[in-house]
Amino acid sequence: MSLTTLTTGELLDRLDREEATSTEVVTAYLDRIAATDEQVGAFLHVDREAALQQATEIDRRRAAGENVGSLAGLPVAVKDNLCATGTPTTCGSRMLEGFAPPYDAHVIARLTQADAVLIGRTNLDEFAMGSSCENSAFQSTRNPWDLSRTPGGSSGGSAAAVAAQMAPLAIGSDTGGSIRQPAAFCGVVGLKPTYGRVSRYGLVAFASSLDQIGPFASDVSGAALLLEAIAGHDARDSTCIDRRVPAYSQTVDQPLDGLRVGIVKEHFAEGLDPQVEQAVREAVDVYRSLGAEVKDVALPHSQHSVAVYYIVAPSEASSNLARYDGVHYGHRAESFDDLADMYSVSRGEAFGDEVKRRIMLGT
Amino acid sequence: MLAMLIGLPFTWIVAAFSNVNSPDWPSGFFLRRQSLSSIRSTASLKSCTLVLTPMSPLTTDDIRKVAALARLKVSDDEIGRLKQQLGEILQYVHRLDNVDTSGVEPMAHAVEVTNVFRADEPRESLPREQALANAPQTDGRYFLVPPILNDQ
Repeated sequence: MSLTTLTTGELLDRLDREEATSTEVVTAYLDRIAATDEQVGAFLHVDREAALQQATEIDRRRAAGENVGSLAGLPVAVKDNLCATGTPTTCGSRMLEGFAPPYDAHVIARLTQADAVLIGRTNLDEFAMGSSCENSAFQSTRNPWDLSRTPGGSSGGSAAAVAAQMAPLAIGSDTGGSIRQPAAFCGVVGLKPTYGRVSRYGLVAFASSLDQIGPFASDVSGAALLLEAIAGHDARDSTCIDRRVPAYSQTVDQPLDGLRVGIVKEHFAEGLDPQVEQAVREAVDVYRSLGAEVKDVALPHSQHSVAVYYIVAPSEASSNLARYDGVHYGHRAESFDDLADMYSVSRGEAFGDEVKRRIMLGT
Repeated sequence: MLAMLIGLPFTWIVAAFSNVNSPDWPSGFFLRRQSLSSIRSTASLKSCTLVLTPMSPLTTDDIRKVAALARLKVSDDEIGRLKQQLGEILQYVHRLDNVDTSGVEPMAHAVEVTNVFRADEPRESLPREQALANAPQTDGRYFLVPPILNDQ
């Protein structure tokens, strides 16, 4: 059986029992990327040598009996809107083509501390604005289950990478569904943590009051393990909550007795595809069989949520994206009249339609 | 654009925000939405003291003004498209006018949070070389920009 078909837990077991090395695991995933990603288009950047070097170092430390982190030797794919020192971070935009951050995002630092192997950077809708991975300036990502379909977005590259077994774990970000929707489209586990659970330091900002970083995995245990590694307080994000991080990976197999799951009746409204509804109802039955109490709840205002999102997200995007001025980093036009014109021409040239639309709407 | 919405009562925005579970926008959204009621601002965008009253759709001048404020160079083609697309979105957002939020407590966060302070002390910052490394133009010490004032 190929290593890439295993769950995160199974991979960790093999690494712990020394039945596989990190180098073997990482090589298997790199080979899978080489064989598959031309069709799927999940990755914007893969540095094979750097990944293998990390794997070799972890193997050496494990063999020497040193302590290793909770994700030791496991490949993790990262959405291309998280800063990592010296690594291209494009946000799927011409604006940041060639940009290499001088610092690590908090989540990148946590992954490194956990001894994860950063295997590559995944495609997204430009600046995480979109829900299909078609708004990237560089490529469209396809759904591995059916290449004629979208993987969803904006974290579609991360979702597709896990679904196509090109990485056992991946990081995404979610502002208005950008982890949850592609996870659903690709049939993998994805979670938007509660706002403040994970530090946004080093995440390229879209709508700061909604942005949150979260995990993708092929099963719930893997997502729990990854969330446990990245969650927790960081003073560099003032909205990050200072609360203890539960041992998600230790409790994930416990029965759900005492857990109440609310089913929002407004979400089963007109326009819902019958197949989707059936799948959701079946999932609810699973929760019930695991001991959860399932209750119908009403959120009468939820019909207005998209309209409210249209106010909150573009307003914050307009403010956040004002930093792209062609001065400190990012694209600068070659031909312009004066300073103000340099700003306008640079931004007009390098932002895609969807980004322009949202900046305009929020200005 | 959203300056046009400033006349709306803030409380309902926050009340509805507490229930946000919205999807990122479907990419085809802008072309599918049909006009609801025709509403726009009566005041100029510059003043930012806007009151909503029913009026005609966005004009080309509105779009040019917002593009200038957003420092976005847009072509005439883009202006035509943006006028239609942004007009449709604004009309959709105006459905919030009909929400009754009297007596609803404002809410902005699922977890109780307080302001965060830190000591105002000097700390190490990014070395100059690294700060300049991604800049389009530098002289090795500073970011270079074109002349701010034209020679008179």
